[in-house]
Amino acid sequence: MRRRPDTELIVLARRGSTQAVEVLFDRYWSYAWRAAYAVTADRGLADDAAQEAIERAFRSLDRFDESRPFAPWLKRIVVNRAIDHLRRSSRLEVLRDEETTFHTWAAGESAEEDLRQWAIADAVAALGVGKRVVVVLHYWLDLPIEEIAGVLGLPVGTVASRLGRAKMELRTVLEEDRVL
Amino acid sequence: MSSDLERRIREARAALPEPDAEATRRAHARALGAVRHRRPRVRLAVLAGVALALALALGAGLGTLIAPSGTAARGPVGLGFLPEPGWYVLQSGARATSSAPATAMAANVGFAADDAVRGLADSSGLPYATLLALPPRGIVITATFTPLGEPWVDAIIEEGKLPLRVRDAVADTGYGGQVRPEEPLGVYQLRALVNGYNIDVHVYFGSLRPSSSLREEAQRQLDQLVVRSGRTSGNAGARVEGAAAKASAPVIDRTVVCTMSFIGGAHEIEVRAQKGFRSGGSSWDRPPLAALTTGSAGSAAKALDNMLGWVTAGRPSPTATVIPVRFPDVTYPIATWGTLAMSRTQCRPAATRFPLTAKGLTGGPAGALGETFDCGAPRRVLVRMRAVLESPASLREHRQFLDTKTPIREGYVVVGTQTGKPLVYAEVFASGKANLFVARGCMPD
Repeated sequence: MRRRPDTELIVLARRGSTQAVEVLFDRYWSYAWRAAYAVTADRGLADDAAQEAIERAFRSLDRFDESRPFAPWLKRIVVNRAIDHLRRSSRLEVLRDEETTFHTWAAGESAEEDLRQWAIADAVAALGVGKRVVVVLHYWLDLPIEEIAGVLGLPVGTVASRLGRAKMELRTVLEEDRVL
Repeated sequence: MSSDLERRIREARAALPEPDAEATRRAHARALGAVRHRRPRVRLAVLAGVALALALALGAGLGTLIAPSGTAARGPVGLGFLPEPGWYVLQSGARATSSAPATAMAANVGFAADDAVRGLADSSGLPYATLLALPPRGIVITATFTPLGEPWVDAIIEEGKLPLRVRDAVADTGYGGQVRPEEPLGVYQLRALVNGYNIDVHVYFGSLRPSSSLREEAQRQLDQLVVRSGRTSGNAGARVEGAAAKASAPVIDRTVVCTMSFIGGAHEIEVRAQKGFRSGGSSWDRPPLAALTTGSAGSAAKALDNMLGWVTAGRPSPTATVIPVRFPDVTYPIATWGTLAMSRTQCRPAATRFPLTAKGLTGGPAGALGETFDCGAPRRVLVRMRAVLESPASLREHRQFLDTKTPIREGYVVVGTQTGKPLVYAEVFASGKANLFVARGCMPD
């Protein structure tokens, strides 16, 4: 079962095979969660968004076009859920009447293993949330600018210029830190 | 040069962390549940959804379809449970959307601390920690409310009436096995459309085959399920939220991310916990206290500047101070600086959930003279502070802190990395007890 391609597993899952669901889950859960984490930069939000996305994807297998690859479809669901959670959490922070800030994500243990990647990731995390999400969607989740514009509901030009400003900011920070 | 920068940014995604075991377990259960709940009638349901959309286009109007039945609305309105005597309730809020369903929980045992997020029901709708420890006569009821609007779901769930009946529930032993496989729970599920909401109720019993008296007890609480009509005014909804809130103990529960000071080439956090001491009377000369600091204390005037937060328990005497009196001219009375405080300058709100547990840490009771440990830490750590108060209160800004001056019955502080590694767990109680647990590698000061 574990060697079967996605398309076969999806057909089996539609017929109610829990084994097929298990294999698909094992194959894509980590991918989905890391995508959610990349967008939200928060473990709690990533947990919620990725779990909802996985549930929604499996519930909607009937509507999935198996002539297309599964991963990008799942990624799109994850990204949408993650952005919803991010927006909601930002609103909550405002409602709580405290200083609103998007706390940075941490590379954690891997920071010790690869200081350079940690520094770059940290610099990405330190960007303002608008710029950070654009960078993450483009460079980490490989979404083209047009698709990012669609996901965020922004004009393509805005996304492109935001990405450009983010890169300039990253370059400045990373050069100061002698990472580049 | 630009392509080099882009390449390096792309490579940095390798530093993304992995999901933890609990999130994976929950997602796994939800994935299996999603497929299990799909019905052969789904295609029919989609057709029904299309028909519904056509009907709308023709002007039939959704409003008539989701209007509450005359028998459904009862008593106050909202989305949650009013507690039966001896029961505890939590709810996520009075609003529900398709992307953010409302959840409510009721239990005849106290909820585990991990199952509440800032005093509210966990949005996952699964009180996992409570279920893991559910005794044989324990009952937990969860309800998820999603507004109508997903035709393929709405069409396969039948219109229902309140009160929902436990006897109509179907056994869902597979899910129970997922929660606690070594000692399976009895799990029953009910789904119904009520007042414009798709309601998914799970009743968990501590034993696989609950007795009739337990089922009756569950029914009495289920009778108290309140489902606001979609047409009800916001004020009425607020009344129910208030009623549900009254049933819960006043709790402050905040998780923040704090920046560590960089001293001697390392980031470090200091935790101090002390047992209470009193020479007479009911107030504490030195209340039980747990405090977090990063960096050196500095001068007397800046002695609190490096404190990330503290929590005390019991009623402090007017002379009780936040820090030991090292500076004869300057003291920091708890009465002024708060029974609980969190730094506003070094910490920021975080939406991350972080369990209140000493799992993986070592330690025990703290003495009256206090125990202090220094722990190496990453640049930023998560800090969760939770307090059960003697009376309702909220945090207010005071100098560089958010604080409350209300006496606390029990307080907790946990610290961990953003990747989930626990560093510190401390708890203090109004009885005077204080316990402190720290990660291996923390050094006594």
